Amino acid sequence: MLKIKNLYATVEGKEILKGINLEIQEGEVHAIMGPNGSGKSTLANVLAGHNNYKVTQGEIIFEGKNIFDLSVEERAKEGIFLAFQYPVEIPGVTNYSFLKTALNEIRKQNNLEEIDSKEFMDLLNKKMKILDMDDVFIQRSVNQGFSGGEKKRNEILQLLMLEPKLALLDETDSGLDIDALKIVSNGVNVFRNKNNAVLAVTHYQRLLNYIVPDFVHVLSKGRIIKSGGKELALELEEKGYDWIKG
Amino acid sequence: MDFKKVKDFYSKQIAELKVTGNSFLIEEIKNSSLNEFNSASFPSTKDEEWKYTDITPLLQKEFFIAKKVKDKINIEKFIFNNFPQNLIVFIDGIFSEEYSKYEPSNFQIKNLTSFTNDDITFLQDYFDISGSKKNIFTIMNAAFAGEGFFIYVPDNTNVELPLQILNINGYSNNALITPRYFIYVGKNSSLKIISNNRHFSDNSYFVNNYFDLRLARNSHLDFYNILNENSFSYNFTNILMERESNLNHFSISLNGKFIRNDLTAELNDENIECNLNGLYLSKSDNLVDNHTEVIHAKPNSNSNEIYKGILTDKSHGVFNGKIIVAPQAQKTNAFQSNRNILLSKDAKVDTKPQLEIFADDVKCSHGATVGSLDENSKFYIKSRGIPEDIANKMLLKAFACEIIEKIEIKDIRKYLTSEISNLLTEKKSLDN
Repeated sequence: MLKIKNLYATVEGKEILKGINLEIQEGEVHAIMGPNGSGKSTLANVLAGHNNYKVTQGEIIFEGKNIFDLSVEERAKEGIFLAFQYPVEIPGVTNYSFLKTALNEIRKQNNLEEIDSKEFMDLLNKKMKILDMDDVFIQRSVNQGFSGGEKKRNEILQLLMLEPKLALLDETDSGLDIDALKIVSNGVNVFRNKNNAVLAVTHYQRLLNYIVPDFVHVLSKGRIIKSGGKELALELEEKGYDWIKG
Repeated sequence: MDFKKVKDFYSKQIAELKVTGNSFLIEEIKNSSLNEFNSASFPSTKDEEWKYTDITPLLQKEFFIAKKVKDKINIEKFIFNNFPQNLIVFIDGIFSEEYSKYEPSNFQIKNLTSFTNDDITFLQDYFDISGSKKNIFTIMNAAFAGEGFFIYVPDNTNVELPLQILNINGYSNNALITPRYFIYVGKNSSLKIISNNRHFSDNSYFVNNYFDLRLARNSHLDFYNILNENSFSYNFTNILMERESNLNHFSISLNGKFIRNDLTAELNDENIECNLNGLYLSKSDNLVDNHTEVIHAKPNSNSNEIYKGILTDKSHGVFNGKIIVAPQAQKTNAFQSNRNILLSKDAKVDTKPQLEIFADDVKCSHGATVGSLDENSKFYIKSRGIPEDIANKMLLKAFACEIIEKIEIKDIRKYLTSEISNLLTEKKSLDN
């Protein structure tokens, strides 16, 4: 599904990613772990197409297509979804109209008609139940005045509604208490199937107790320095990142 | 530019003007104002208050008092329709009996042209009817003795339905439009007014509005001044607030080649709440200038001023917010903020807070920003598959929301949201 080849990227002229190689197949969950400043979030943002990040070398092949020239919204329509570490507040725009607009744009891409209101509400209610979200969220402005946990839940709600092929989770566990972490992780697990994939970027191992990865990669100074199975995450938790650097 | 020539041109028109109505006092006011007009002068950019706003384009044109419109016109499309029953219509500054519908049961609306001398004496108890002689434009408004209304809400009266004053401007070409409104809200009373100003055509015109608002003790006024003009518009608003009164003022400038809004609010006693909200949109090479002045004369009152602007193309915005806190006005809370979004490289804003605080135990704050749409927010929206143009509309809606959500009248909220959307549609491309 995703093939990253020798990827170099800069932000504001500073080189952050220095030759990333990574391959993700359908049905897999990959975790990228690493200390602060290692380039984890940069990788997620580069994949989603943030234009503050410049790809200087290498390739990103998604579903057999080089996505270098695709804009953020085109990548989203192709099926790449980024769950933000810091979701943005949009006062005056309701969750309802935001989600409906987004879903219809993605349906348009797949040659589907606009969803009718009843069908949309049924779908939304179903997904909100999974995340234990109250009905009032529908008419609230996007993320405005939401607590940290509510924002993260809202990200996963969008994930469940838009059903992308590749979900990039950027520090989705940060700021969550244990109950919220369980609900959010459960949402991601409901999303998972044999046709999609998850790339979870995280500093801590605890998220991976709930979203169990097939592969764990350790990122340091812009390069993947070690890859392994889920047991690598536990080892990192125990020994710290210094262990891997040495 | 020969300002003297322009003055002579208007001075001659005033002298020849036949005052409508039957009061000799109006005639007197006209004559005294004419003298003042003759000794006043038009401001230039050398005047501090007009530093960023050049009125030369206004003075280069010649405007004439319009005649009463005989043709049938379709006014429906201009009306906020939730409550069509409380409607006063002016076309080019001339009252239209035909289109107006109002049957105030518990307050009074009186056309200035039908005033008797007794009425004038009554009005003079509340207002300086010859006009607060603030500047040459207010003097001009008084001198032309244009049509207008005295709206009087007696004590202990709640006026439920908003009163809509619809001004349709530019029906005839080069119209000079000088309406005046004196509004008095009595003790423990409340009133909502929508001043709805629309352009009829692409004709050029000059509208010079004068609003005088008086809020008696413990009264409440919601006032919406909505401008969707196409030509030159000058608006003067003079507000006097008494003890425990409460004002929500909305200055909404959606369109206009040249708009200057001068607003003065005097908080004349204690425990007053004065909320000034502004929203302005500007495009092509238009100018929108808001000058406000809040005067805290006594202790323990609050003023809260938020003005927001969205500017595109080569338009120019000006904001000057003055707050004066008198030495005895201790425990004043005065807040001011002016925020602007520029949608193009060539749009610009000059913004200036001006605080003159003479009391020591006060809380005053102010802030001004000029920027573009937040890139990170745009990235967030687009990362959901939403295209750039819709993302921009969402972000502008989010920006204006702070003002729009305070508006209680749904029809106005909807209108403003669609006008913001149109601003982006009409713009060719976003170049930053």
